[in-house]
Amino acid sequence: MVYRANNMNVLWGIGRLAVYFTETRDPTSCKCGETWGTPKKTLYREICTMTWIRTLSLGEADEKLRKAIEGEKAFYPKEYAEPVHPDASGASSIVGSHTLIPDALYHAFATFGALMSPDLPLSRRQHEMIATMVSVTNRCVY
Amino acid sequence: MIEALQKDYTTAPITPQERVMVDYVVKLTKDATKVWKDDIERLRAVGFDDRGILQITLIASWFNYINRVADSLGVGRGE
Repeated sequence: MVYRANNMNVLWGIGRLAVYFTETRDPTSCKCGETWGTPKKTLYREICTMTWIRTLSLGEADEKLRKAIEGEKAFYPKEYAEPVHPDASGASSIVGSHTLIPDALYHAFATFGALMSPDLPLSRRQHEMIATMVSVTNRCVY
Repeated sequence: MIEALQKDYTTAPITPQERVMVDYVVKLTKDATKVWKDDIERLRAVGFDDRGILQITLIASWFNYINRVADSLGVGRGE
């Protein structure tokens, strides 16, 4: 399964913006059946988004999980609402990685949404700079 | 700007205020025990109030959290 990530306008990509611009991978490096290797400078990259643990799709979610996902989304500024790295359900794969513990999912991502509020002092440019520098410093592959 | 940050943030086209912010974020990410009161004073000196300093700290900490979750559980890493 291949997903295409547009890095320009959705927050899930902001920690990865720099990587999209510069990173390519050997297509054989992913053995899960997904493919890698969109050329540099396209602003797009096809990525493998599977996790190594079981996750629940929206179709499998019980009411508690559905409420957790809908609840945390309510905190997002409008422009950050669409996931860059959707999983099979269309949700963000990083959100999906939390689905076995709905309370943790809700609190983790509601915190994120609250921190992006336009009512707080930092600008979106500053959000993106922080996220980029953290991910670059950590050499995070996501 | 993002590409320049990744390549070498010390030469990226950012404002002096942003540079202080990024220095703090990198320091916090590498080893938060190295952050000291004078780092907070530097942020204040370039115009961030305490609410802004808290927001910088929480966003940087949140992304450190999510980076570790993603890398540890294989999000985006394949098998």
